[in-house]
Amino acid sequence: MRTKFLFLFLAIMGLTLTTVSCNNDDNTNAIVDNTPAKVTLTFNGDNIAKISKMTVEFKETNTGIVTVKEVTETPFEVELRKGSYTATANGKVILTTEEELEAAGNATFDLNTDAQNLNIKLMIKAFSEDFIIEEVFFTGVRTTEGKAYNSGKYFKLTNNTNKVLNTGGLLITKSEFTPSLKYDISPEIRQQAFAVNGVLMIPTNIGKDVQPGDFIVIADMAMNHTTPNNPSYDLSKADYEFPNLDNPSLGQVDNPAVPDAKVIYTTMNFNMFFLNNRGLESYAIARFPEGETVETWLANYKYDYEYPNQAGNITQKSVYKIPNEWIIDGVNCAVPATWLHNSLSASIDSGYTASGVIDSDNERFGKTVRRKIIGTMENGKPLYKDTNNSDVDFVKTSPSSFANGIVH
Amino acid sequence: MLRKYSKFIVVFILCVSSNVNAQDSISLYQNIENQLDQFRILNSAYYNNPANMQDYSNTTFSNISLNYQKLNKEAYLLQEGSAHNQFKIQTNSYKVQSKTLTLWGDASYTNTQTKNVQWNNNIDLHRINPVVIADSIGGSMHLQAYNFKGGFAKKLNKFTFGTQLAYQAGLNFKTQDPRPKNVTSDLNLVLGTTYDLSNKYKIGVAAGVNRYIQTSSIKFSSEVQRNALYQMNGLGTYNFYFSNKSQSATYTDFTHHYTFTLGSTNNLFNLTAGTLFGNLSKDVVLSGNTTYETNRLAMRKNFATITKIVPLTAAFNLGAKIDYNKTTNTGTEIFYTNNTDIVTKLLEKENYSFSTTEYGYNLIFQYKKDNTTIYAQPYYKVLNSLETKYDTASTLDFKYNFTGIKLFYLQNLSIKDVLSISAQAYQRKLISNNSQLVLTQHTGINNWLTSDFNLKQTNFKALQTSVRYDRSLLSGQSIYAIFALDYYQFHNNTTNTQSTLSLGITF
Repeated sequence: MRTKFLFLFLAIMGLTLTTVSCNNDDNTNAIVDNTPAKVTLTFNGDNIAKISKMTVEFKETNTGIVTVKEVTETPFEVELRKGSYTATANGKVILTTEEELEAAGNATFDLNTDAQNLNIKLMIKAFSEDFIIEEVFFTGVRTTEGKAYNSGKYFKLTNNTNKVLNTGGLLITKSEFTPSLKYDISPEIRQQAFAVNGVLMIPTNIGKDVQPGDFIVIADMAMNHTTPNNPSYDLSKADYEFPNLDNPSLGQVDNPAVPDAKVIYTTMNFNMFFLNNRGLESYAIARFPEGETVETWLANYKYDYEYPNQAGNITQKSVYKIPNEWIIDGVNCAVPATWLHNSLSASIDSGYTASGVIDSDNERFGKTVRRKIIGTMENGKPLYKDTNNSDVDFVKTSPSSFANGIVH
Repeated sequence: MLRKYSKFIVVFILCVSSNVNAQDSISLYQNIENQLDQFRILNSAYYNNPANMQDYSNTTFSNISLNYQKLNKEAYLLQEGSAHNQFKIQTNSYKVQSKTLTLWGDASYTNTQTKNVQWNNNIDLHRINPVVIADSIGGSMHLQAYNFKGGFAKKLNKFTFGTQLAYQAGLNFKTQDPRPKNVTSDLNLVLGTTYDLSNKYKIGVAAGVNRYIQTSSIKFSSEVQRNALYQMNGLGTYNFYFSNKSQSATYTDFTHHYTFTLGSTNNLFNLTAGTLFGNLSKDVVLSGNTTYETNRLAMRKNFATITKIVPLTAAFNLGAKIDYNKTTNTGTEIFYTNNTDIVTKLLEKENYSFSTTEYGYNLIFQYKKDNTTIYAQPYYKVLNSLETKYDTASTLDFKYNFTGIKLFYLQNLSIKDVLSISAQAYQRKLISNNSQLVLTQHTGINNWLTSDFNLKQTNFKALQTSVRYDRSLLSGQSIYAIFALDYYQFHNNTTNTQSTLSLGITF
């Protein structure tokens, strides 16, 4: 009996030690240290002879740590800790024609060796003599009872040129891709076009002239949203509206005195054009080129893409695209705490702006993203900053310009 | 399922307890003195080897008790909460089955409500810190925990073999957004043996394994507002990629430990030394139930304690004890890239460490007469705590000393009444601070780091007291009541208080 007990005890003890000794066998991963690796940085781009001055921001995806370097000559060596990076370059370049222009570019790379080369392809920034996006209000407000009020959102587009512009044919688009989710999209078309999941159009028959420095407002509902318990804005003087009457649960109403922008494409049910209240999307305004119509665009600019999903399968989707040449202005919006990439080409917007800092930030409600004023036009109207880098062009988490209603 | 299982085990242990023979051969005073033996408390590490439990007590005893505890803290680490109310029912039993076989076991159920827990949606911080899922809102945490333990020691000639199996299960939740639900299971198995070197000394070894799992999932009832959830990496840093993407995580830990013991058969001398190796892994869960290992914590612990008691007279004992404890947690972060087809592992980076080193020096005085026991244990302890995040070069480096005294007084009031008083007074003094706390760009996290930093460098004085009264009902059966009050006075004029009331039966 005693011998049996002893053997049983030793068997359990042996089993324990065997389990212990096998436990670390599968740990074959090499651990890297925090010693920085050297990255040799170069740039290239069509017709670009050299860079004049370039600011490059490196963001490590796992830690969120941002490293900013000023580059005036290439190749440029930068020390970075190993990781997975997104690099965004903004600055000036000298063309082969010796002209100096604004340029931007971005690149993603994994840094897991002690030395590595990185080339960033630069794109000349595109500026057009047309409307700019001055302000976007996408967050909505919270009522005094703490409930969400998701109407009263608007786009404010401004004529930042010195000539009269007409609103007829303007397209207001929003991105298919969100800045906080990054997939290996195929085909990747960002440098050629903007993938959209919703497009509003101001039909030419309701177009109107806008004087230099003046603006138009396109609201979801052109009405006074302000009530004693709702600290929203009076948008009754909006120029256009896009109420959704197909989805009765939204409770939206049409203001017959205000012309309606038309939803010409959306992936949402009930033909809705609804702005993400965290700003996890990019917006762009565009115009069809001559000869292009809604019908021909819908017929010819479908964008089918796919990506491997987390389950290891392929997700396939179908949306539409707007070629970058059609875009007259764009702005990437994101939540800084979750930003991973931009939906717009760096030639249109090389940065991003935000309302709020963290995901679902309570501070974002009632706040907008609004372009910075850098001076005054000859007619006394504000002149807005437009460098195609919304990180510096826009005021993040800005008070609305319509605190006292729409005043031109 | 858990509750059904738990109830069964509680009933089983109660049945075992009820079979324990009452101590009709010893007085109430002797029974209580045996159970509250200060030398045994002093040498608790020695009994990590279950074979040594053979000598834990010469007599059989059992307890069932109800406890209520209320804790209020003005100075607290934000992740631990500011207050708790705790209800606990527990039973424990030690049975001398024969001269060569002893059995023991205990079981408990604990219900705790902890208030104002912030930057932490998990439990068992001592195991998983710093890789918790955090949010800035916080709230009250509710915890139900079950604990079961059983073991036996069998003497075979000069060998004694012992084994102990323990299981703890916990369920933790919050009733406001964000709403974490944490389920834990913690299984411990220890096997040990001792060998009688002579009539005076015995040498022993023990080995144990521990498997721990905590599954955490966080939900929101509000559809319009969700707070950011951060997958923390230490000292305010967090995994940027998986934060706000994942609301679930699994923590698994496998630990193995080894203990060496050498002790005298009269328990007046013992030496215990041991080492522990642990490896905790955190896997976050994304939608579609895809899991990604984001962190590993390698734990290493070495400890040693030596105690020597010298009987000066028949009533007076003089002794000393020296302790050494060193714990090191090394954190490895696992980086991923989404520059590939799917999110794939890129590299591993050793990026965090937390270590504590502790030396304790104790003197022991005991006066023991027929109806009175007086025990005093003045001590001095030095504790060095070093926490470092390598990539941000943030360091918390504190060195403290603790000077204090433990007192115990046991008095036989009558054949049916025994009174005991315990007290401990000590002060924590910061003797060096070489910290370089690096703040983040997140105001809320900075407030948390600063609050904790200020507390860690604040000196305090503590007074812990308890009074226990035992009253014999029948032969070998008694009831008792304990009231304990702990008071902490911090240098910044904040105070923490804890009061505990226990009612129990011993038999």
